[in-house]
Amino acid sequence: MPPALQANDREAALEVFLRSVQGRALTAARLAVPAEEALDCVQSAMLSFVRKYRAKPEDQWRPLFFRTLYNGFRDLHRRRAVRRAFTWISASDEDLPANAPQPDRWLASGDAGARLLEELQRMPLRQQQVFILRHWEGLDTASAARVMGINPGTVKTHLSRAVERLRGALEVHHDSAG
Amino acid sequence: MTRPADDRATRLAVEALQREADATDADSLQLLKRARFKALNAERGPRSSGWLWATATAAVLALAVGIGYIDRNGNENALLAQQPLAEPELYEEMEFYLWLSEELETD
Repeated sequence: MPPALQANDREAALEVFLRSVQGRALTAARLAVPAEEALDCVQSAMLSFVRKYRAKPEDQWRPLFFRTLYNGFRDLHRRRAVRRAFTWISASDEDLPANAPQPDRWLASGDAGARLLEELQRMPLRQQQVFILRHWEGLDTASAARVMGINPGTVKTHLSRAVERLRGALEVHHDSAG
Repeated sequence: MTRPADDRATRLAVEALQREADATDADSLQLLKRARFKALNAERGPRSSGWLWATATAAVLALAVGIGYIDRNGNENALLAQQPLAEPELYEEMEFYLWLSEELETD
């Protein structure tokens, strides 16, 4: 196959891949970072992913894309933590935690799903992202560990804590609804 | 280990996540489309700017030849090169100091 045609095929495959992950990436970003930063995070991840990994085999794209996305979330959290440490203004929006739940944010606010999304949003970044990667993206423990740059044992610990928190949130929801 | 099918909270959370992803609003989709385009075409940037630089350099050289600043071989124009680079007063002052230093050395 001529190189130009191969390049076009690869570009088309990249376009299909990015379109297939964009909605999930944006949802993950809205859980991980403030709403106004979510789109920027996804856009930066797309740019960085294409620049660094476009030549990689297609079966590696998904974990590599989510690693790029996760690195963006982590960098943003670190920057915000440093900014908060040097900020002396009290009771301003700057002092809200990075993943503070926002009212009327989720589609079906009031139902169990919305309550669980709020709980996911409140979780520490690692717990939240481990849950997303393992249970939503369907990555195995080793792949999730590689994406996040942590040990497989730590992945299991964070996942177990995340699921416990979700169970607790669901019980509270049922108690308050019933 | 937690298995998704066995856990109601996990299943409901995953369903809620998928609902959110499926219902991405039109504005965000438009911005994501632009982001995809930007990401896929980012590598074409340097090539385009390479052509831009080559064109701009050729234009500047042509202009330099046109106004006679350099000749066709790229050498500085001989007539322009002969022109003094500084004010005559400056040369006179330099000559005075040279003369003075020589005089002082002689003494």
